[in-house]
Amino acid sequence: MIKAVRIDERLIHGQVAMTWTKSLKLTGLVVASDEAANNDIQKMTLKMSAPSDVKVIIKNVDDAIKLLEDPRASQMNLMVLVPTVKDAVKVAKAFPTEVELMNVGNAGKMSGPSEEKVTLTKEVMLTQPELDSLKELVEIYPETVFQPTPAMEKHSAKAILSSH
Amino acid sequence: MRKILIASHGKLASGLLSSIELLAGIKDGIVAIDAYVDDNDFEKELNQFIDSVSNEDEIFIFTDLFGGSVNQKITKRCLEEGLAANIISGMNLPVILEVLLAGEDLTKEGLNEIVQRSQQELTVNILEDLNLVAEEDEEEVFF
Repeated sequence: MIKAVRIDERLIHGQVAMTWTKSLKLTGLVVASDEAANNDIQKMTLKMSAPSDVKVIIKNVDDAIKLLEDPRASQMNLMVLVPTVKDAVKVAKAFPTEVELMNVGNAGKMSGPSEEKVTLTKEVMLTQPELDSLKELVEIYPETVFQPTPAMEKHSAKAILSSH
Repeated sequence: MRKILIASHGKLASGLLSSIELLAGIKDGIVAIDAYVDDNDFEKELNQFIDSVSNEDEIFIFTDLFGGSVNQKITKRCLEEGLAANIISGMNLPVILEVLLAGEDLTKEGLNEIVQRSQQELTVNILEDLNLVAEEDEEEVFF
């Protein structure tokens, strides 16, 4: 079962390992990232970062989608972590109704020049093409929320988009 | 309500609180005391914390060093006040986060488990031991 898809450029890190895994009672993290899947060192450090009772698998986005279609995936509580909005759209298109929570965590602060980006929240800044992807994502999942950790306030992506 | 006090010699306590806020997005119900950073000791801050809690609360107090003066003074005051506080010393970031994020009321056993897990967080990362599972086995290991 896909408990959540989360856009987070840091993929697995403290916020994910400590807060989301507990609050959603996750049993597995699926990292769907073309870049991470091709980087053995990053794969090692990501696997090291999850709590010992949560399984981790790192795949490129297409292979991650295939993995999520495996019937065994429905027996687990999974969070899918994608680094960009565009990747989230790809996952959302493959699973247009199955995702329980579409979550925007951290995006856009670590990559590319910031002058081309629009700051949406403290944690999220996006380029124009990514904003377009976000619109596409919200069309598939209108309940998409910006929320870094479960204890922090939720902000509707729809509302944020309408003010930009 | 769960009430947490983090106390240290110097600024470790407020530093931990800053990291907790960043990671968990919570700082309500958590007080940090940086002891001896000015000419006063921390009596006033400690009194404020003690006045703000009652035995209806779940009280967790984290201190830096077991037997250090911060720990001694807090333990003494809790005993004097008859306060049912759980005092955990040798604190680290994982133990505070785990207690903070533990869902239901924590039993003594639950707290002991958290402390044991957090002790294991003090670890040496042996890089040679970080091996990847062979690609073809990955899915079998995952499911």
